[in-house]
Amino acid sequence: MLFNSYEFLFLFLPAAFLLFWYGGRTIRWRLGLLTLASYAFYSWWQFESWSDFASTLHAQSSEELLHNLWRWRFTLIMFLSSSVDYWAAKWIVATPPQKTVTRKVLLATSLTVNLGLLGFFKYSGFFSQIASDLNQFLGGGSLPVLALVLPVGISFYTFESMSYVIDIYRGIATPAKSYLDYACFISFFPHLVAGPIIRYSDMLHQFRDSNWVRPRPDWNHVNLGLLFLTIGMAKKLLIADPLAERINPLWTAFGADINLGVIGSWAAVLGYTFRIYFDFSAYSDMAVGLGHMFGVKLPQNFNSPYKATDPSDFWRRWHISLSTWLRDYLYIPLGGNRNGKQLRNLMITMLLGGLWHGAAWLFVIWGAWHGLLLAVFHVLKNWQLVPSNEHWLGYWFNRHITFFVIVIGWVFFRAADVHTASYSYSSILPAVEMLSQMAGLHGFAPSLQASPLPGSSFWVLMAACWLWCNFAPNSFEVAYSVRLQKRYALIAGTTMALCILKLGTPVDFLYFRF
Amino acid sequence: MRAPRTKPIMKTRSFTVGYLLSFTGSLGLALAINWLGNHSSLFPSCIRPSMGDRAWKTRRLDEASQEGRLPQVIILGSSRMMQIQPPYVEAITGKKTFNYAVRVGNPTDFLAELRYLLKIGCKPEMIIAGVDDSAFAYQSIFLGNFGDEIFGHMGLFLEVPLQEKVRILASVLQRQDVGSTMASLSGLASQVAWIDNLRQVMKRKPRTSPRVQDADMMLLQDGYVVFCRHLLARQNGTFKLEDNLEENIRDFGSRMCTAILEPAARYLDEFEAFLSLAHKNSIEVHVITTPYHPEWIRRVFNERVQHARHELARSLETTCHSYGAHYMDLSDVRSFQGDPNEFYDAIHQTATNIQRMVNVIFGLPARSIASVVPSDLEITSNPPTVTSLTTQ
Repeated sequence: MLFNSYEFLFLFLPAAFLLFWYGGRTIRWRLGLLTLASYAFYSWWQFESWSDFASTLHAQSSEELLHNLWRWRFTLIMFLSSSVDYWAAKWIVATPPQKTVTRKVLLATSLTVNLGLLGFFKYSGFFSQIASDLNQFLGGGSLPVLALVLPVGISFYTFESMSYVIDIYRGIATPAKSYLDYACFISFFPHLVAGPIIRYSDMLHQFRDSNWVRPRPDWNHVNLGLLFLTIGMAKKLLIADPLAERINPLWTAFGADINLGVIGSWAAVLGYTFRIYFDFSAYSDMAVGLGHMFGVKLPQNFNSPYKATDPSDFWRRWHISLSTWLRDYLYIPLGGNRNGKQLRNLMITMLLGGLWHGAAWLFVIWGAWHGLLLAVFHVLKNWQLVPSNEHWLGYWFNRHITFFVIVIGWVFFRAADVHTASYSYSSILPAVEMLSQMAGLHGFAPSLQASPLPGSSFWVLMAACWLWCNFAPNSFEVAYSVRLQKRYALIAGTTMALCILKLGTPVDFLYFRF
Repeated sequence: MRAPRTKPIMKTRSFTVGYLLSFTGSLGLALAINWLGNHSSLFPSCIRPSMGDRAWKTRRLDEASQEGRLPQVIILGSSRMMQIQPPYVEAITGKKTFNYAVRVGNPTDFLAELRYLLKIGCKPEMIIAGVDDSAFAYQSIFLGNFGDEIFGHMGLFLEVPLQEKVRILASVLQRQDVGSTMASLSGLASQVAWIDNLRQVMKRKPRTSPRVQDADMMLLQDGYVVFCRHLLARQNGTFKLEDNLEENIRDFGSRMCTAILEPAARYLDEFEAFLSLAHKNSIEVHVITTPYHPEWIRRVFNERVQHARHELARSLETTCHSYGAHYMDLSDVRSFQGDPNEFYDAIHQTATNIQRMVNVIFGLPARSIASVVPSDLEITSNPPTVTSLTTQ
């Protein structure tokens, strides 16, 4: 179920909200309801209709039963992942600290299950293609390449689940009070399919907060929820989707080997740069808003990333929950800044971060590009070659140069979608081709068959996006600083109505595929 | 020193209430504009009535009912049946005929239309129902969601089965967007004389009425349809059946196959309910499956689809016989000596083939001519007063 769909906004959300706040006031009821609702929300993706769903509820033979279970595989995988981690953590806590081997085995079991699921569903195709290519290179024949459907959100909840067990193992987190607490933390629908990637420590105290068992809604939370939800909807439906409408024909033409020229290629890439920000941050805003509506505060995931003054600053502002996860569970365990291995550790972290986004060479290259940017930045900074941000000239130079290199990075990211065979080495070529078109190596003007370049409305939209990203406060700054007055209620309500009128056929969020 | 005055902060609950009120108010206003301005032609607007064929034809029936000239023979079906000329059927049966077939007509339409006819006191003696074998598809194979147009006449919509009613209502509401609201607002403004006049002055163009030459279809008062564009192209010598066939195959060949392979149980139930209702009211029903161009059958339908079609035809025949209805499978043009050149496209035929089809339904020799009725060219050159011109 998408947040930007009629069934979610007009059926699921009101029903879940009313049942949550008015159905019962015990913690068990609220955790149970949220878990059940979240599983229903997640299971929705597996079925085409109610009758399709109903058909999986009965079986007349063992074959049919297996078939039905396979239809529920996404839900079952999430249940399996949650259960293994909950029990692994519970046993780690129950094992005396001196029994290090047992604790390590339990941790390894949990990590193996999570990484195994992720590896099987997300990376088996990629690595089987590499094996096939290698086999061919060595003179053998091609090997079968697996093509599996990726369970929605698996990259997000496996990371959340792993962080819980690792924190328990390290002794820095409090174990979940019950399986219901843990299942609710993992499956809580606002963050389930596209983040933010939360830690159990973020949720624990909130689940046990006295506000959570109030007989009536916590209106402060609800108001913030509505505000965030509206901002997210507006970003998605009034900015990201119209941008997509305008740049997708350009990318389609590019995919058909048509030269877009300098203007067309820059329009396609800059359009994508803004689209991915507004699309992904819209989802995060909606997630935070929905969390508030159920009395839970989720962490900030975007902090005006295009205002970054250097690559390191960018990663403190972009997909914050992922970058902090990579920092805490990968970069620091690798050694972090110590022992003079900072550059190596940065590169490994960013390569794996790139691979987290998708099993494709271009995502690996995107990660490597950011690893390189971070490494170069740190070297330049150590040599004191980075202009100071204290002077306005240096500040704006840094911001623009950072923005430029980030935009170049998005070429690799977006080009991964140009050809479906993203596992093969040849999938890298579109990015090279796009960069050469941006550099004007194929001429300034687009080829004759190119779809018409975006009109003035596109450039107005781009200018608005640029102004917004560079000068406007972000959602958190707006929502947490605004004084709730009548006019804001009026503006927000009307904006939401406008979004509903723009809903039409819901468009997926870009980050769903990761 | 006095503290600076700050604007009062709303009580926390009031913000939510204000938000919900402005949200529902804005949506309600947009919906009201859409309803009254009716740009999408989906609403039963009193100011700008729906021009979809379901609503338009039902209004003609309402008028006939008020004037006491109710038809005794009713033709139901999709656009493939809209080309049956009521005067030709009248010549054969001697009974007043109305063509109530609608674009992408399916069993929901059959049932709702029969229920509505009975509600307004029109109990026909005979119904000729043309069923497309793709009409039982779960999803409409056409992108335009023509079925939603039934909402354009509230009386007819109320006769739709509840499950369909909910689906149609949800679909109609989902189809409202900013563009249709602006267009509806513009439509409403054009109802105000001085605004409309001002617009014409600003456009500096004389006001023109819609012309037959520009229309795709012309609907007559008795429900008969003339495919103006195809007809005039044939007359001008610019008509190319092969091109139309290619376009059809490309545009909805695979969707048609999917539709035939996946009939929905609820449409089969509604078809049975329609037959049952007709049987209860002692109405003579002739059901036919409508024809395709032979080239379409050859190129689009593989063995699996053909098998599904035969299964469906067998099932329809059994159902029809159990309710005393007559059934004929006319999907193959050879069954009524149809001429493959007398098609406009893959599914729509010219008057020549249609007459042969009607002859066969009534047991007459296929190539006989029961009556000489005005040709389509004569109709378009001298259109009757109550017509509707449609462009797609």
